[in-house]
Amino acid sequence: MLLRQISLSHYRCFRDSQSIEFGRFTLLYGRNSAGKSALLRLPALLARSMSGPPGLLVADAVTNGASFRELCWRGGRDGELLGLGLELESGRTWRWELEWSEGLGEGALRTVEGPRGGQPCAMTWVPKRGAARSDQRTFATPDGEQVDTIVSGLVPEKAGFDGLDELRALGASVQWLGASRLGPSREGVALGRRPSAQSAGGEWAEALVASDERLRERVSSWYRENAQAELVISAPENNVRVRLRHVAEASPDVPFPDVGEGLQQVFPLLVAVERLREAGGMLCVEEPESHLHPALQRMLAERIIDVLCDNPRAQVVVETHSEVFLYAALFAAVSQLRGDVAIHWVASGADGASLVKLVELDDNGRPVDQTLERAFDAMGVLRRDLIAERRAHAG
Amino acid sequence: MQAELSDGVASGAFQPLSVLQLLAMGAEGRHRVRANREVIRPWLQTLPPSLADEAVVALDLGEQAESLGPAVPVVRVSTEDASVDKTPLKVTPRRAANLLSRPFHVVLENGANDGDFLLAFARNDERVPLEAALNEGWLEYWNGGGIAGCLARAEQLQGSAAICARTFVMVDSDARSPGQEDEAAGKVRAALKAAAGDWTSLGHVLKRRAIENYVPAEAFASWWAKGHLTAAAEADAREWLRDADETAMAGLAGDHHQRVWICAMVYATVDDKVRDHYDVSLGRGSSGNLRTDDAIWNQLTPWQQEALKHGLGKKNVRAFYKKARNLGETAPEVADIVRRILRSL
Repeated sequence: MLLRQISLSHYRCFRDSQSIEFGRFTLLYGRNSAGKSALLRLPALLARSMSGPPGLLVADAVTNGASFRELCWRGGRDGELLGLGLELESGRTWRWELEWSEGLGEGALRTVEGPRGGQPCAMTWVPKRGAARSDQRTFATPDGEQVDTIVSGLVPEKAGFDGLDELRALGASVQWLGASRLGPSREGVALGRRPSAQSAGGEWAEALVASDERLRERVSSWYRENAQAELVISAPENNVRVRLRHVAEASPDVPFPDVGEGLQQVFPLLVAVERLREAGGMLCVEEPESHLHPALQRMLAERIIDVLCDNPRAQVVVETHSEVFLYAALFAAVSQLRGDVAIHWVASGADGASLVKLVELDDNGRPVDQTLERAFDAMGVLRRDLIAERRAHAG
Repeated sequence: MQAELSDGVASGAFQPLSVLQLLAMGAEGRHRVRANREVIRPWLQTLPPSLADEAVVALDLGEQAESLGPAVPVVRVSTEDASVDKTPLKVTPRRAANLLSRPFHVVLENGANDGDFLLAFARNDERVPLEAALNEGWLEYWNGGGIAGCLARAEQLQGSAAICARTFVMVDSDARSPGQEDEAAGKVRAALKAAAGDWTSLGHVLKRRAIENYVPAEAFASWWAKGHLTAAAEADAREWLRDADETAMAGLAGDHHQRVWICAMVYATVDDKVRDHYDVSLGRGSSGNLRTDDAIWNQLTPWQQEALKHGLGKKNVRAFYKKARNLGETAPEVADIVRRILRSL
């Protein structure tokens, strides 16, 4: 399922109500601490919150363990509601508002708006005592109808809303990978372990590769093409180990912890990307370029684009500072992924509130304003300064 | 602008001093310079190393700007003046260097005030290069001294594609009612159309009556209150607004500062037709010179008329524009003008 858009207000450093449109390939750029990571993690936060404690957001690694108040703009101290929403491929839109509940000591669902009988319908929580089940809630429609429903995460299960299956499916279709990722361990993983997914830090990626030959070959092909090495699997004793073997040299297999950091960190990312090729879904990645030489950044970006071309049900969102990814995305925007690339610039305003701006592209895939040109002028300025300094030094 | 060197020019065999001048402007980031690297490299290798380094920086910057930035006007630099008076310009390095070294003229009815207006509507990240270009002299506000001066300038553009490339004209429509653009504004548009088929790259006639009609009224009111009203005076004025109806007009007493604030608050609530064509500076004006036409004025209720009858004051709106920042979201039309100017610099 494709996610077309998310909306937010009073979320993290974003005070104002705004929305972020996703392409099949979406890139978030901006200076440090502008709010890129908070945005990147939002699809995963929403997806995870489609099940779980009734009426609550799931606070785990995706929020860095932040409390509800810490997820709110300036701690929610002025009593504003945290607003989150999404638009799915079907065109159905959902919006939730959560507020701090002294009783729960947590942020609780206040309103939910979604399609009901083909029309948008907003329902407001009516606090009631003595519910038979802890996940039972009563909501009121705008015309006064009171609806008793079971709530699973943010999903009101029996309130007459349309398209709940889509929402539930979202939970399994969004994968988030953090900025710090692990390659396969020296010791390996227990033989026979078949996890359904890897963690945000890349744990279990090696088990996925070990248990899926086709996935292993696809990941291996990237290493073969770009690092002259391929994945080899060995299973001494009860563990499966994933190592790299140089394709040309008769050298011993190298455990991943002994190869370069870039090649380690890209491993879980390649696994996640290649899983998209078959399964589809949305992959959200922080700094995919971590520790990679620009030439390999390019090859990684091209692999991502190749997967997106291969499976129209796949989406990738990256938060990055990489110019290589930017150029690759702009190239894709005029070629393979025409009309399906979205680039956003995230900036913090003078009042501390961040804003997201879509970098508009014209029919030829050119930015219509100078946002990107100015954002990436540091190298040019540095080159100019270097030459001026050399001249001054030479007298 | 973007100077594209033909291979004959990039080889360094023709007017090399002017080519270096173009490259210098490229290295400064003032214009983009593009050339075939394979062709220009042998020539650059004959130059002193630091000079060659600078030329490479110019080419790198040009390449990056073209790939990440918007389309900008192009001048093709060749070994002959093949197209001087029509676009695309195809001129020699000497003529190109002469053209690109000229400041970009933004022709305005009032250079200072209209210039502040444009800066106020620039996004924060656009304001920096605009101010830098003004400081460097690459951008100049050309004071028309009224619409007649702007018209005269616009009429000079015909038949001179080179001057067109370095000029942008912006005037008020002076439209007192919808579709009733002032004759002079219409003549400016006609002159721009005569100078270039795609006249929108050459100038803009504001859709609303005047620059004052773009003032975001609530932001103005907030700014005005901070500078001119005590908390008690603002509360008093707010109370008048809350109670205002057809029988309460007399409650609007004479304090000038309160009246300006109330005028802004009421202006914020009027419909688009009134917003676009009301005389924001002077209001209704005196009976001998009705600044706001009956067709607009009569759409207002008596208490709205009472609030709006003196306007915000021309100097006040100008002072607001001088201080205001980042208003582009409130008027995409003006934000687009800023963007067009930045692209043409």
